[in-house]
Amino acid sequence: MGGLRSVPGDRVGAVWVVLVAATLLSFWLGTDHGLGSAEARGVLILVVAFVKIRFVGRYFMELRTAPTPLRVLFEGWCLAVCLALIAFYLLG
Amino acid sequence: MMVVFGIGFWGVARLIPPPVPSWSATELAGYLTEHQTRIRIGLVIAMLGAALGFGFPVAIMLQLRRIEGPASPLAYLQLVTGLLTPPLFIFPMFAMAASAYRPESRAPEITQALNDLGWLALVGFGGPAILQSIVIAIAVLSDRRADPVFPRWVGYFNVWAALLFLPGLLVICFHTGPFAWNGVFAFWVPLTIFTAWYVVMAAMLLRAISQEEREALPDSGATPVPVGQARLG
Amino acid sequence: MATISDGDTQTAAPRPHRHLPGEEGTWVLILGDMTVFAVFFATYLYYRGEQPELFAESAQSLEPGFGVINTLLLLTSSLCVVIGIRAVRRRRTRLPPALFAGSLACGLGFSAVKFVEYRELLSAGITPATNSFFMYYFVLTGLHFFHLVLGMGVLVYLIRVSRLPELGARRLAFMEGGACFWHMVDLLWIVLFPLLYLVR
Repeated sequence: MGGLRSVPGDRVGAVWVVLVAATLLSFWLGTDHGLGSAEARGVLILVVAFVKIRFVGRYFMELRTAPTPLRVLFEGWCLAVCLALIAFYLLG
Repeated sequence: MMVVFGIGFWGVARLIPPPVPSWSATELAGYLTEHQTRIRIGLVIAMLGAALGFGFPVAIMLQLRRIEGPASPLAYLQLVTGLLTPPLFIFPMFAMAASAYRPESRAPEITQALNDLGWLALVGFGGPAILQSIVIAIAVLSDRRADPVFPRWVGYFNVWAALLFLPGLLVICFHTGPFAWNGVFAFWVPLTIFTAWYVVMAAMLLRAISQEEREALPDSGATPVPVGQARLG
Repeated sequence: MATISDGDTQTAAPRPHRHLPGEEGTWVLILGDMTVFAVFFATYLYYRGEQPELFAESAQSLEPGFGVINTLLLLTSSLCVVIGIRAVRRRRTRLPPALFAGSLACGLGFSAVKFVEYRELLSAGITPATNSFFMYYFVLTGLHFFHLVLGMGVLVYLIRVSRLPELGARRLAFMEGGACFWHMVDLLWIVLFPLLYLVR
């Protein structure tokens, strides 16, 4: 039985690091640090969230190598929901 | 069932959209007095429609039995939970009927209490429906036949339906907002999904029944699959 | 289930081999659930827009640290799941159960943090009925938690089944689907956490 090394990580490990970093970034922004108005920070946090979701979908759910219709649906969901939430947030 | 129920409940009684839970007792009594006749007639039609729903879980049970074999706990569990749906429509409607029976000569609070009972029960009684969908999902996804009784996506669809019925249980906690008995997530989403579920399951039942008839033909060429080929897990 | 897309035999570069994780039905469930949650998120932001001060003030009672810990737990659990599924595909039988058990442990950790959080709020007298914000907070996190519990059930199944030497295409597809359900639970929390805790 080989260790973790013999299972090709195909960059999921790196993706995980990126996701963790993005989480900490959002946390830092959300606890009232960072530049700009509350709105700018809010929008940035939402965008970061959906970037993270794309990573989860493409690398963890393995959608990068999935049939095109599925990828279109997923990416479409990400884009539509991200824009909709930003719109609702700013219009509030 | 859905058609007759819809005609009665929606078309005649206009009880969709539901009366607002946060109405005061007098407002509600006024509404019921004003629309008394059509609410009563609509409820009569709707109750008849609901009774037509008894056959549905029986048909589903017969098909699930083909998956499981003679000892088919899931099929019977589905039957039991499915059979609760018509009474859980009819009884709340009786409560609504009682509240509309003589609102003009009765204290409004009593009318309101009966109406509450009706609507909370109609929308909030999600448990059996949730369990029924989960049972169908388990049975469909554990089907080991080469030509499954129900297509696999029906199993996943039932899981999704069960999840969407869940917020309906929250009606007892809220008077307004999306989780009240006239709210988006407690009423409209479950109503839409329940209707879709009915249509999907009816279509899939017809498909499964014709599959069963095909397999029973002696010269169909298909080896009739002995009942009981499924194994769970 | 592998779908090989039509390749133009005249071109020199071969088309990539496309693989559908899980089964078609899996994505009915997952995309459907994601859509419903998206409607929930939008509804939350809509009602927040009507009372921004109330929502912002109420959110002060939440501890973002808990949210960060929970996010990290779910990210780690998803990592374990994806490595585990790949190991299953390579016919490993000892590594995957251990990895899925690790995911389950993360899930249990998330649950523990959730209990602590809820208990703190409830003992401060804050309930779903306190105000609009807390209604959404408890209902959204509660619904998510329900999905998490469902997902943990799937993980238990994965732990058991990944020990078997022979799996078959259908079971493997179901396992992939289950893994994607778990990733969906992670994904939903990735939106929920900033939405409730961070966006002011």
